[in-house]
Amino acid sequence: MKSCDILLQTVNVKKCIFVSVITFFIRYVYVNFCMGFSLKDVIILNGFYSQLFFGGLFVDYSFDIISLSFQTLIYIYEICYLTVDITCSVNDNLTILLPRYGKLSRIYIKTLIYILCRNTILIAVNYILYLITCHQSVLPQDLKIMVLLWIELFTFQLLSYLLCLWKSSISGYIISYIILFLPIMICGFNYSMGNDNWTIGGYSVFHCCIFNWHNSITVNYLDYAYEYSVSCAPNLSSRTSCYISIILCSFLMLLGNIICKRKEIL
Amino acid sequence: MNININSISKYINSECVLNSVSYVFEPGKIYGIYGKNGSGKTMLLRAIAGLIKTDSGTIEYNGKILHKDLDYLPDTGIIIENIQFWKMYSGYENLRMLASINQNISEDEIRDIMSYFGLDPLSKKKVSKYSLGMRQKLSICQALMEHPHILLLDEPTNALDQSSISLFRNRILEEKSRNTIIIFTSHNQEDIELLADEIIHIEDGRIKEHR
Repeated sequence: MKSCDILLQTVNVKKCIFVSVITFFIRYVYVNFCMGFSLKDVIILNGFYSQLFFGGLFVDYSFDIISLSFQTLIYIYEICYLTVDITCSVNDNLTILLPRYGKLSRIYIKTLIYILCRNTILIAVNYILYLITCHQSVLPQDLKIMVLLWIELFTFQLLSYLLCLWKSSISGYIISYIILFLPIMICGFNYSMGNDNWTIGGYSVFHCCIFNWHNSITVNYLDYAYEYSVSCAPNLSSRTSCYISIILCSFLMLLGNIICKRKEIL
Repeated sequence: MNININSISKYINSECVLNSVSYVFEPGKIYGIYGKNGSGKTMLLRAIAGLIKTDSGTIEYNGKILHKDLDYLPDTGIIIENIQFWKMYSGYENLRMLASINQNISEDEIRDIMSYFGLDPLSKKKVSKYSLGMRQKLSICQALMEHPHILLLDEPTNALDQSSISLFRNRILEEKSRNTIIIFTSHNQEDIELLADEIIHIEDGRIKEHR
């Protein structure tokens, strides 16, 4: 038996591509037809910008909270669905997997590998679609962004993964939506447009490391009569952001380990 | 290599579901467990498999204590309650995925056991479209296909037609001849009488009688 075939089958590449394409299409239609902006104008200026693109958050064009919520919801759905889907399959089949693997931790490590494979497919598909629709590429910068996005997705997913260990069925699915979605909804952005300043909400620690990979996030558009300035506060250095993310990942993994040990399959 | 159960008890929400159960299961024998619904049959199988931790007592296999030296009983074929499988794949693909974990059987062997139980290994039909009986046959196939040293089968003949039950019985007797420890529960008295070398009656979490 070819282990590569089995890996591809378990990861379910077709499903990953399908979900990625569908969610990208929804974001694309929303931005192009509902909001009236053209994706062809999008250029990767820095990591944050393309990160927003992948997240579907077009703060430079339209920064209303409804668009933000909608786009984020679609993106989170994409991430959560693919993670929770694979975790639930594993949980539902634990009784037949355990005697074969011998250790619960081996199953969870395998599952994490499958999740990482799904992330890679998700990002690759999004990037290809981005190139097709926007026709812009700055390869070294793009690679950096993709790696950052990959780590970022993993932080997101560890949380939903743990929730699925705790609640193996649909409740884990719903709770992961709420837990992942709410911080983004209630978190804040300090932003300014021209001489006006707005502040929405506050910041959560979780949110900082998700959205503040880069120090001083500022995007300037000289094409416009005025300057857009978007910044995340507090301004953490990218190194600090990485540290926070790694610590958060480690904490979540440790928590997962404790849950695994205590969990009884009843 | 015996399975020695030494006075195990299990409480769930202060209700005693296994009450000081002791027994020795030997290779090459079939053990049939019967009892009313909720008497503790499935819970006993779960405890033996290592899927639940008991509150007291020990389960030993090959000189190793479960949950101390072993996390789960190794080399075990299990059917406990409804197995979900990966619904978006065919029966053959599911078995192939499971067999890939330990890689100790060939694809031909998977096809053989499926054909034996009347499942078409070439069929593209997804498990989600399977009938209850077909899913039960697939459960039996996954439990038996790797010729495990221990078989823990919870009501394995549920939803099977008469001809499939006969096939199952023959296969179980074949497995017995391989020196396998086979423990199964059933509400079907005929299964118990025909297959079991030792019959265990469980009531209120206790072994009421064995013969």
